[in-house]
Amino acid sequence: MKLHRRLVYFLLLAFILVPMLFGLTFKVKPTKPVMTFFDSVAELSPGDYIAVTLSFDPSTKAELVPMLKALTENIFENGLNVIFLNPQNINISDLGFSVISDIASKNGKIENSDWYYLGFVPGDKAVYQKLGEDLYSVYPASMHGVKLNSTKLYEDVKNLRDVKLLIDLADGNSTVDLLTYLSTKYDVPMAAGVTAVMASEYYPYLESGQLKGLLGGLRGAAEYETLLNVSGRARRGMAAQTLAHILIMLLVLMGNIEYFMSKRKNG
Amino acid sequence: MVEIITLILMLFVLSFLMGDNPFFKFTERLIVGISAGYGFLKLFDDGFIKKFWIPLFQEGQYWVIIPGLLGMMFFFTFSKRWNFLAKYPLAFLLGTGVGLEIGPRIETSILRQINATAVNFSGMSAGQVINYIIILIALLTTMYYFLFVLRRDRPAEKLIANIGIFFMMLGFGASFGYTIMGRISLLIEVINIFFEKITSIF
Repeated sequence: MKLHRRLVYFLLLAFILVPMLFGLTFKVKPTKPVMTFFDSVAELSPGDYIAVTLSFDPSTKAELVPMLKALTENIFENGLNVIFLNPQNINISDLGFSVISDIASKNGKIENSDWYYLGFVPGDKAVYQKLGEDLYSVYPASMHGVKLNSTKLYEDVKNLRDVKLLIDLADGNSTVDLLTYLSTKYDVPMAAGVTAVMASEYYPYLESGQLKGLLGGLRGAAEYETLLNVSGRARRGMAAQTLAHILIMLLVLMGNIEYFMSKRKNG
Repeated sequence: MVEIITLILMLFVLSFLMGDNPFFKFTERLIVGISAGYGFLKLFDDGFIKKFWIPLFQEGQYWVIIPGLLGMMFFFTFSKRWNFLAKYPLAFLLGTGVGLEIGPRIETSILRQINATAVNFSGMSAGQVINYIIILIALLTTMYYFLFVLRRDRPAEKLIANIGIFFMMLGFGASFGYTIMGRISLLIEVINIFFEKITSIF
């Protein structure tokens, strides 16, 4: 039996569209890696500093922007001060800023007082290393040119060793690089939110305790939204995601049955 | 207007599902061009202007001349006569890169991982103990599979290597499952954006 690939596309579209059109939702149960991530943020005291690195491109915003939104909401609700930076990915600067500034203004948080957006700086791993020594030699000013030595941040944080938690939202290898050059070397507690493709690679670091929590893909974002009790984009997408997975499992099964049957037929 | 352009470009990209066509090719080249232009300007501004021009000419930090000159030596690549000079900054980058990398990488990805497999079972639940034993078996059998200098003639040796393969297959399966999840998420987002744009137009 030959299944035309356009029929597969059509079926996949149908399995995704139907739950979205009918507003179907599934219950999402948070898993241990997401709960430990949530607890790592929850156990910080108001006024503590947290650093969030945006190490992704707009091409993976479908998975990572829901995480960024849920995390930013949680950070502001808990009264934490936050430093956002994207030393790895050049293309996320403006998109990341607009997502964060919308949530900040909704929560009455002021830029360069409650939160800071430092943007991109070239230098890759050397930058990570330097962030643990002197933040201001890497970032003398915010992304929009505000001199950091005139802000409260300058008094409170000398380098990223002074933050209570470092979180990397990533679609590449930046999490391992940050673990290597910053977290392990300077003993900075770290958690990560990564794309689904990358998630399985980071479980060993979670098991070893090097990561204090892990959000994996849209599912991770949906679990985080569940813990925050908000119905965001990630949770709404879970029904479509589940049905699409069922379809793919059926197709894989059918493909295998077909393969073994044809093998037997041909001797 | 922005919504209409976004919608049209999305349809152009999705038209690839029906086969390669000029609309897809046009959008593909547009993305490459815009990304390259944006990337160049951002690097020029954040790198050259903020890290070299301003410190040198406005803040009097003359030491930036050294890394600046080293960086500019890369342009000798374009000269047949002088291209050997481009190898000096490359050598500098390689040397510092390797120096930076080796020690911390071994600590993060090897020593701490080995340390995590040596755990004290006291105070752990039965489930946790079983999990750690499985991790230990997976680690040892997978590493055994990659000991290529050993002959695997005896059934017991073959069995250990096959258990290693089994655990690797489980890992690849998990990665494949996660990959599918990622791709479906992207499709869901595309459909979401599609509906949002349609709604905002009408």
